[in-house]
Amino acid sequence: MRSEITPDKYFPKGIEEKVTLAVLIRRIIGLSVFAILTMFILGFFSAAGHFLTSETSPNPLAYHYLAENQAMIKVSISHSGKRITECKKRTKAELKKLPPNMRAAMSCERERTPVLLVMTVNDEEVYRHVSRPKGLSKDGASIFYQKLVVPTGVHEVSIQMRDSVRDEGYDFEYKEKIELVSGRNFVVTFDEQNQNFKVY
Amino acid sequence: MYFEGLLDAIFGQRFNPVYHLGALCWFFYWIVSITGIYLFLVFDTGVNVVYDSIEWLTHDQWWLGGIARSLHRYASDAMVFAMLIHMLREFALDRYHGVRWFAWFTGVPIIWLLLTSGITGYWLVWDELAQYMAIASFEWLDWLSIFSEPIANNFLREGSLGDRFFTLLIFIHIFVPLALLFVMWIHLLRMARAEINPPKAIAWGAFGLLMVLSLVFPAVSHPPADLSKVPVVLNLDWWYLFVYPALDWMGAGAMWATAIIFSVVLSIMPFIIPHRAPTPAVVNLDNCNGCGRCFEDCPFGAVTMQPRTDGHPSYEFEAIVKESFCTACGTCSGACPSSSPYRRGEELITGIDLPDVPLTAVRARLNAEAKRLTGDVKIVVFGCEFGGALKELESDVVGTVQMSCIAQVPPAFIEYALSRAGFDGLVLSACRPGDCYHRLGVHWTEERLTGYRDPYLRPKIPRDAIRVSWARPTEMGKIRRELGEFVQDVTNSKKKLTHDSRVELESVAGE
Repeated sequence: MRSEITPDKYFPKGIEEKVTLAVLIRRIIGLSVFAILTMFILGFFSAAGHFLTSETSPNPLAYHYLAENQAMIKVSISHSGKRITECKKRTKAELKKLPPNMRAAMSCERERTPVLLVMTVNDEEVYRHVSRPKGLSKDGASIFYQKLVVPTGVHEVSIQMRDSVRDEGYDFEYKEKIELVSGRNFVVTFDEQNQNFKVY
Repeated sequence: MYFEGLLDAIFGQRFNPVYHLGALCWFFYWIVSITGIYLFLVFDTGVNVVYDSIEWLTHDQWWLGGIARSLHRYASDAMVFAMLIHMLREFALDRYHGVRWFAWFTGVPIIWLLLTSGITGYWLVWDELAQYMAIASFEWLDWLSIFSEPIANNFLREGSLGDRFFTLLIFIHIFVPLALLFVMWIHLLRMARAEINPPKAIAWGAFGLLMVLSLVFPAVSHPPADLSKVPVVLNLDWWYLFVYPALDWMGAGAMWATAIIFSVVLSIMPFIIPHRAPTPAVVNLDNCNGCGRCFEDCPFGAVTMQPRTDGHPSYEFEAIVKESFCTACGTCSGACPSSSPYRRGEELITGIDLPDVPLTAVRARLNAEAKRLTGDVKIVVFGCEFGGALKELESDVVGTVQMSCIAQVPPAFIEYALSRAGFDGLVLSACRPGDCYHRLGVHWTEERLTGYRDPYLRPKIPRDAIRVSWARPTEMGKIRRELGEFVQDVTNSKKKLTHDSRVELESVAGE
């Protein structure tokens, strides 16, 4: 069928658009405006930040994660609390009842105590959190991950951690005067091997 | 719609990019993929050397690597832009309801996969922005407390990020876009002949645009990542990274809640917003010869062919309508060879028909309109449900017949209108080409009229007695103007068919 059809003879009016010179000029102008507008929209939201930045004028599209006079203290600690009950030495009779491959001398509950972490900056408490042990049997580590934005300058940072079954006092403490410059990432972790806080 | 009319004037109806947004998304995806393959080939995957390798690409090999990087970025941005407009448009034009829920529903994960693809790409530059984003992303994931240790600990201090973890990030950036491709494929599963390639003129135009943007504003990096510092000022690509300021502002928990609520609400929209559900097409087996034209033309793959169940001695197959796929456009009815108005009998029963707009009612309406008109010429306008308001066009010379979709008009009806029904001219008015509510109605109609598609309008039918006027409901002025011109043409040039020529047409129809 296709070979029998010629557009002049068989295309009803309206299917083929007739482009006059005026329409052509209108389209060229319209296309140019459309292209510039589209490039502007795409480029402006994509990369204008880089190109608008100058020393004299602030970049209107930039995202200020921190202010120029701010730094960050990040605490990331993964530490297991002590067991909630003391381990108990098994008697000979108790050991005998157990299968040979399970005759451990000590009998220990799996559950561990929640860990408390307290942080103060310049004697002001900025963070206090009790982290429960992970795991279905509550025998995993307690996790802390906290970011604190602080002004630049010298600060006295103090961190205390309680990982034993008691109501008062702490098992680990760290206190130091630190100087934070703009954008500094001050990281506090806990060194499990040496059982003390470590800062970076 | 008015804005789209403006674009029609600029691009012409057939090259309006907003009618090809889905295909443009595919086109941008391929640009991103091809440039991504090149970037991956020359990209150094070690965490300590990756930044330098990208700087080398950007500055020393700007003519290839730099342009590839910029194209990679801007095509990704353009994909978000196109997807956003595509989604808003489908919503505004009510193309997400009923049986069309599937494309809308599967479009929701596409949003997230596309955002994730872009975000993970930004990680790989390993500059200050990547550092900020990677940490914020993993902190967001860590909020779920599903990992034994926070993943963000990999970015705690210099030396804590190993090459192996960085390789994992690269793997994520390859895997997520592949998953995106897979879901994009699923997205189109219920679309027959889905358009995945835009017209060449649009594709070249879009590519040229991205190329100019890449040359004028090449993609550049922030200073290299330094885990002992926190990035203070960041130049975000807002197309993708708008989520990060939102995350900082509302916190991880609220961000999870927002993302989940947004996804759920968007996903269930087709089911909770009420709409009129038209009755699906019905096959009349006595009139179905199993030719498969309805199967070929259905825009939603709702018609399948299966072996005959009535034991007919001559016909091998029969058409079956999957009701959950059928939008009741009637394209199948327009394609059916049994849909001939010349058939005898008071009721016209065709092989496949719409219970809401049966062809017998269309024929009756056509004949009634022919009788109603009292003017010097008689013109009939066949229109669809989603084009201009037909009622407003009616006069003593113009009659109207509304169909579900313009492709529901079988070419035999055009012959019938111009011969037996006694009309001097016929206008087909429906949605814009490429923007048909039922996807392919205008396209199939044009192909039938020009003889490229079966069933076609026979060459002997005078084309100057037919006028097409594709326009949206807001363009009633255009339809009226074109209709007026056509009425004038038919009257002035004396193309009004005489009794003799009508008799001639009758004989043509009888052949």
